Amino acid sequence: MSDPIIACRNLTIRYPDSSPQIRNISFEVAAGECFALVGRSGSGKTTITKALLGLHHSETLIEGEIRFRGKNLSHLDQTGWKRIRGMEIGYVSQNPWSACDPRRPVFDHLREAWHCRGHRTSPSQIIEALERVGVIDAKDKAFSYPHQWSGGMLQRASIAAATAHLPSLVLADEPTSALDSDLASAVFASIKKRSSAVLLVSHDMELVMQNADRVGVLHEGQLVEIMSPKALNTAPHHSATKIFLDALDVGRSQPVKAVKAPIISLENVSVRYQDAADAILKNVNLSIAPGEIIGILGPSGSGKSSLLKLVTGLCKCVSGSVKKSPALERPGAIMPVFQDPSASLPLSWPVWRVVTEPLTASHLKRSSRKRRREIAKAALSEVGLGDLDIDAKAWELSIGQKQRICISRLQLANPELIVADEPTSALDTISCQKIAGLLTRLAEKGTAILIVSHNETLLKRICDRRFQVDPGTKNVSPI
Amino acid sequence: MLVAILKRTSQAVGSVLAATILVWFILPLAPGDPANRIFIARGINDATEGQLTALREEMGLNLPLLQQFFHWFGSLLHGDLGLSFTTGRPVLQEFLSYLPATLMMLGLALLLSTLAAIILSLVAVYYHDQWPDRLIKLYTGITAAIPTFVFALLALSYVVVGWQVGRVLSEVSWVTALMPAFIIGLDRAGGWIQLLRASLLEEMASGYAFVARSRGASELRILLRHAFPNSLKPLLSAIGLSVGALLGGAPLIEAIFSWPGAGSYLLSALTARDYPVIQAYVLAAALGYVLAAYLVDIAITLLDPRLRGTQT
Amino acid sequence: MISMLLRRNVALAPSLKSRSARSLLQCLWWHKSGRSGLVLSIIVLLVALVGSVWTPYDPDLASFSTSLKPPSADHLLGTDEMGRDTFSRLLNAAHRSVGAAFLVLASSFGIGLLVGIFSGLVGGNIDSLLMRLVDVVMALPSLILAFAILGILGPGFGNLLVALILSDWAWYARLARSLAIGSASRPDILTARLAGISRARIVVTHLLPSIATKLGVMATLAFGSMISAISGFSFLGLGVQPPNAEWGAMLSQSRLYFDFAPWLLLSPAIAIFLSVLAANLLGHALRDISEMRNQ
Repeated sequence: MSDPIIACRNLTIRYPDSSPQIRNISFEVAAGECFALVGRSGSGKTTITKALLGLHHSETLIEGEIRFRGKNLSHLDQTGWKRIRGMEIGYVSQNPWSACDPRRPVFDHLREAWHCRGHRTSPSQIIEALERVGVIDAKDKAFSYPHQWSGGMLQRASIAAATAHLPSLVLADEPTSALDSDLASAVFASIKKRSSAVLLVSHDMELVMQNADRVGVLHEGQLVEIMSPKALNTAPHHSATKIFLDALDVGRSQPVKAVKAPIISLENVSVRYQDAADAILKNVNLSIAPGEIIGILGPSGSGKSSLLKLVTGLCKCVSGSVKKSPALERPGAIMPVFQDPSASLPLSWPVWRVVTEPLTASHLKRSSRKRRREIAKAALSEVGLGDLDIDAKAWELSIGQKQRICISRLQLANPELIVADEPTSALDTISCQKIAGLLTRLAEKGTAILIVSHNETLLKRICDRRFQVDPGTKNVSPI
Repeated sequence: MLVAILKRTSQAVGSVLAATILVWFILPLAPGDPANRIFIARGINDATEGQLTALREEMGLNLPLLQQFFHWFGSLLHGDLGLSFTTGRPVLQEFLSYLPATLMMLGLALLLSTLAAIILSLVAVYYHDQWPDRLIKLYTGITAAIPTFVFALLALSYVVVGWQVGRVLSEVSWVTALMPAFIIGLDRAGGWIQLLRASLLEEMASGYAFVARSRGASELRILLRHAFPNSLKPLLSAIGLSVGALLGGAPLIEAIFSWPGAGSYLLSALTARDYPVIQAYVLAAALGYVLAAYLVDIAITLLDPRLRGTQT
Repeated sequence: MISMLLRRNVALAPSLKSRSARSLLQCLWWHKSGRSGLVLSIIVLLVALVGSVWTPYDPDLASFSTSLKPPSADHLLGTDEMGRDTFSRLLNAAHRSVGAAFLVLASSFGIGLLVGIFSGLVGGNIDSLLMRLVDVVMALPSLILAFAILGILGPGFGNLLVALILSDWAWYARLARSLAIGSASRPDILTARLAGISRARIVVTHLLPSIATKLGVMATLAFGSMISAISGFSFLGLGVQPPNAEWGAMLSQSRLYFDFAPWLLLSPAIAIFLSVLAANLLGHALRDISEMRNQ
């Protein structure tokens, strides 16, 4: 291996008076190499990125050594860092829109890369830079504002700005997570083209497997494993790696379930917003049987949520018919799970009161406080929160716990059909798996589940049948 | 964008109309016989029935209420706000003679507080968590807890009377307006600094600021070129809203500084129950308030490319 | 704002969690400025309560032999031009200044909450009628409206309170209504509806508490400006009438004697400062806590 571009030796990062966020990690990125750091959220990926740019909080303590082309950076002051940032180390952020000042045209965003260093530049140079990373119609588009650009194009512009001075290392922090998956590799290719070494931070395993030469797995601030993508796939050693890969495991075979009579079926249904000319859904046919998990995949704004509202009876269809089995007429027979668990819970209530809320429905007999607490205890242990204090207030819980509380609450309504709207998009990989497990278990008990999500992996894993909302015909078709 | 501006314009016109109706209600709602009130305000306490009837005829007070309203509204459109009960002269004319002094003082106060808010917030954010920031924070905390008029009273007592700096105001000029304007401005700037400082800090912690740092841009450059333009919106809204508060607070400030402005005119009208004068002040304040909010909203729309529409 | 709060809350959250602070009072206690705000507010309220029933001297008893005496052991804050004990007047005034601000805010909060939620839930013609009324009230800056109402009713303490309530409630009503209307798509309320929980119960257990919390924070933050409005109007002679003591009115009387009796001006000024400070500290702490809980 040639001389590394960047090498971290025994790097430990901590805030004063707290346990380290990064513990004793060592890795290096060689010239021409793409090194990927993967790990769940909170494993310390962002902390490393900030430290490598010298943009960590001023009170942060950094121990160990960061060597950049042989020079030790760990004790560099801000003037020294300013010379390196942008010139020798480039940075591409996750969300291209938030990377640009919304009040300035994209042209200014690029020009800033030169101007903030006092370099002069001509407009043609900037247009050229845009064209080099594959921006189409760069001349016309450069003077429009970020919100008028598409994500893929704007991310390319950001890459052009990050690599304006041909840095020897580019830090790419989830560079494709805001983009559609078919754009990801093309955009990432433009980073590789402009820089000799890339440090990729991502949990898009597809991207990592395709592009990385080596992969480091971060777990709770430690680098537990470094290996080639191939080896990672075939022989992971560390348990954290396994869990991480499990979450990405696709196409698991499902036991074929006996076909039962559907509890709800949509026949030729069309839906339209009030005052809108065009329907958001057209001629949809869909039926759900007890115990079945149905997944609906589609980009945001494609009418997935309207489909859910239609099923729960919160909005009416314009034409066609929704046939519900009589079992769905009782209150609590259809229960929802929402994207944001914090908004779905009354945050100031104690947990036991949240969980047993369905028992206060008007058609049920009132149960005593003591009884409700007992029921809550039992219901919580069913979702793996048995050791949670039932007097804890909902706002004290983590987001993953909150979502499990939501599931536990809906179980007490004893639903026949669960309608889940992006139930895992606010959660990290592990919590997402737990929720998926809970939903599968509910389905095994005979509850029908309809999930809307853009997480294709999740849908592949747990759904019996999957559909897609076609943005053109506004119809749903099986995949 | 045009649609948004038109919508906002019609909203502003609606607000003015609503305020006008509310202002008219002052007359019929006031206690006692209106004709008698006019005589009392003129110092005649024992008007005869004949005098009262004659006055009612003259002022149209015997017409049905709705007709009275349209009559009043019609003359309002011609710039006629009626005659002052006390002096018997046209209210509009009298009001306009008092107005410049108030506008001078408030305009200067607005200018000074805006300047102070912008400069001090930028300093506070640039030296975040260092002594200049802490000092400014202390200043904003104190001004937030002292009502403007108490602040003005203390300043007048200590600075002007105690140390013989300046003098109690005798004539209206830009120089004499400086003292009250400075005090109002200093007090009002406190709240705005809290607002602007918070929104500047938020912008400095945003994604584009981080990216700009990663390109090697200096903190000062990010603060002035990016964070500042992006954090002006809450300040602009606050300035718009404060016009209402300033006009509402003007009588108090003018009473303390013996400033012969429209606020003092309102106060004397309140004691004399000179209703047309009260109406004039309230109407003018409503106009100023609605106009300021309207201009601020239009400015915000024009300054933001996302709201401005698609052309560059 | 968010980033600031985030930073503040990061510092706040572990201390709150480790000490298992659950009730609002516990949260306030462990909040940096909340504790001082809470203590100061309690002191101000106690002073107002005590001052309304007991004072060292009769606050309204004039005695010309002791006029304009400087602070001493007999008269802690001296005496005024009519020989009345300033400390007693200050104590006695507290329930007019602080209590009145409390009364006005509680009334406009209550009216606003009820009108807003009712209007938002009922919808239709009643809603648009009520909201036109709110629009009309809000077309005038609230101090100006208070001046106009005082112009109609005439000066006086009761009239001042009515004027302030009438010009203040609309702000709360509009906020409450928009929150009530937004609640139709709130996930927690949708879940409760689908579970078959009655509409009345949802309103009482979900809607009312969440809206009341938001409005309550707003009302606490408005406390300072309410105290200054009441004392300001009294300063102008439009509020509390002599011989009753009120901080603003005391300021107005003491102006003339500033040269040889500065304590007369300073003591009500400091009283106003401390009570507004208490409300501001408490209000900011409450806002922080409610934002932290909603993360």
